[in-house]
Amino acid sequence: MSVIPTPTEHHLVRRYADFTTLAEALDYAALGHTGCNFYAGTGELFAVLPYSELRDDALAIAYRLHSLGLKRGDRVALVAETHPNFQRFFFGCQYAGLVPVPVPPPLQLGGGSEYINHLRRLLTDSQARVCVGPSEYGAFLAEASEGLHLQFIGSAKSFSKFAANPVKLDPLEANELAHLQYTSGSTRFPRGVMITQRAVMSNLSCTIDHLQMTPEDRAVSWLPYYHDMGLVGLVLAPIVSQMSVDYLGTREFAMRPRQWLVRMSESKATISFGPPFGYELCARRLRREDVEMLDLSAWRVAGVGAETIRSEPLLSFAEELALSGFDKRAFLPCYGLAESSLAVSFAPLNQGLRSEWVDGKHLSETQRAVPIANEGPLKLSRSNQFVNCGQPLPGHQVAIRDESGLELPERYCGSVYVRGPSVMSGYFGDGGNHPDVLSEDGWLDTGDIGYCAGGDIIITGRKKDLIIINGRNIWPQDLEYLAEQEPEVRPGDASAFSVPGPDGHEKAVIVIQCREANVEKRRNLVERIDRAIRADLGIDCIIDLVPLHTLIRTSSGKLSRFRTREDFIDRNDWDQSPMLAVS
Amino acid sequence: MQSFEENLAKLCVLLQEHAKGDVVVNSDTRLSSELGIDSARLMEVLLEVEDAFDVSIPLNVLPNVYTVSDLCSELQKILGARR
Repeated sequence: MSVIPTPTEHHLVRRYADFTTLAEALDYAALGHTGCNFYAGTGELFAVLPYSELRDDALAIAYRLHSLGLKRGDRVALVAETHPNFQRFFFGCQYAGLVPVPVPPPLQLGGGSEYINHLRRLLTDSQARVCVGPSEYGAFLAEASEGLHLQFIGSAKSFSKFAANPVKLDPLEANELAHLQYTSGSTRFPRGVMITQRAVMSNLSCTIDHLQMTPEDRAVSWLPYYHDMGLVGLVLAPIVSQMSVDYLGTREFAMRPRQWLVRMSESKATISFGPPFGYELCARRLRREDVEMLDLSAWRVAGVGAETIRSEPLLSFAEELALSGFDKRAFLPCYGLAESSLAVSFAPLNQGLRSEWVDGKHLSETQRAVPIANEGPLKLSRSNQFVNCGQPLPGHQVAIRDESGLELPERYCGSVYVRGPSVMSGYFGDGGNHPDVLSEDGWLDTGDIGYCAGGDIIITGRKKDLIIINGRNIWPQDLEYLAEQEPEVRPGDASAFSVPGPDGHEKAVIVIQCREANVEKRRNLVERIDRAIRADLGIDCIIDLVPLHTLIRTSSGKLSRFRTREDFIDRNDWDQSPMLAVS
Repeated sequence: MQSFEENLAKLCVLLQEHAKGDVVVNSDTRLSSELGIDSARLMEVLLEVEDAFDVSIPLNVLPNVYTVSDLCSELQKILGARR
């Protein structure tokens, strides 16, 4: 393996996502010299994988996969570490006619046992026949797959012992799945999003068009490969546009966020994406001398998405790095979700963050977003600022609907629906049939709340119960489950949701009905739940013990997280802010 | 090389500075659940540990690091391998 990174420019005429399948895209990219480069947290380049080598390696894997006697379309789980083996196996599956399922590596400190359970649920739900992961996690993989009768479980190295079966390869076709995406599901109740080759290629083509990519572009990414933005946006998009990309592991980034900027600077990279949290983490850890050392003048697309976008922290990132040549017009807000391959809309290129203030009172009372001037000392207390996420991708439609499904006019807040070629075919397996999420006529209920203004999408909140902390999806069911593991908490006694914290970030809350009156025992219960949540999910969570019959149920007897949350806000006089504006 | 006990003591002092609430850090303190800090912050603390001991902790060992004592054992392994 060479130690010189792949070049940015090469002789091959660029083709931008005009392929039918991912395998065909790699066939073409392999004709040039571009590829992937893997950097350690210390900044050292540890692996280089030109697309030409990736194709050779993937083909060799495809022939070996054929010796396992798998059926076409069978699932192959890949523990998605930022390592060349991920791409090799992902494309090995493409050539072999098998569906790759990226699954997360163990991330939590001391999270081994929780990880085993999580992985087991993913393997079960996806009915994976094979699971490949780094040898360090061999024990986890073995335990997670015990009794599941997988054909193979182990590392890339142990996989290589299989003999190649010299069959004629028949890669996945346009109407077949490209991959199964598990980012959007809860850890205990996973939902695999089925994305066809046609869907992902359509999304990639729209995205690449929007970014106005050129042969001089180069990307940097620290995003996890098992996340839609990391996989579709920063693994697949570079391949379908034959662009070189430099990777930094996600954990390495979490430990040394400045390495992101160092990589951007040294590679003269032009494109990178991240959740707002990533930019904030970077800004927080920046040192004065970094600013003088970095050259970020080539960075023309700084994509922002995956969680609610607030402009202030991003603008302070831009301000601090202005001396390094960072241009705040590079910020590119986008809106998307795994159920629509990745992107639904992008703000216009080179315009930076465009946001508007709306009257908070109007918004919560009439659901109408009335723009107001809100600068300087006249700042209204009941006003909300929202970032504009731009127009839907070409060929895609967005509709805002009220609770009865009626389409709402411009500037009225409601549920955001999307229809178009990037939308998933459905959820896999048990989660299969969800007419409430995806209608027969192809409309996807995103679970987000927003309004349209001049055709632009502006997201204001979320209808689905999802909690997003540090760019990570946390489902309330998982928090509730953890609480219910304590003997004092009965099923149905816990309700979790998020509220805006004092810093504008989401804060997780769990309200628990508790029969215990003894102060010491109550404190002990709170401690145990706090530890369980930290160990399992690594987040801070407000634990609120309440008397019986405090949790609010719907007429059908189901717990209403939304109403329990309203009640929590009232009881605690929690400050109302954008996330809460609409139901 | 410092002994395990010496490194453990040094580690406890360092972690104590970051611990929230009235937790007293000792060898059995569980890192992810008992220090009272979230996972993003914990990564920053680990970086400080690296700097303090002048080592680079291979991140793939982390899933098996539960307690302060586990972390100290890993440090000891890295420091030992260096001799």
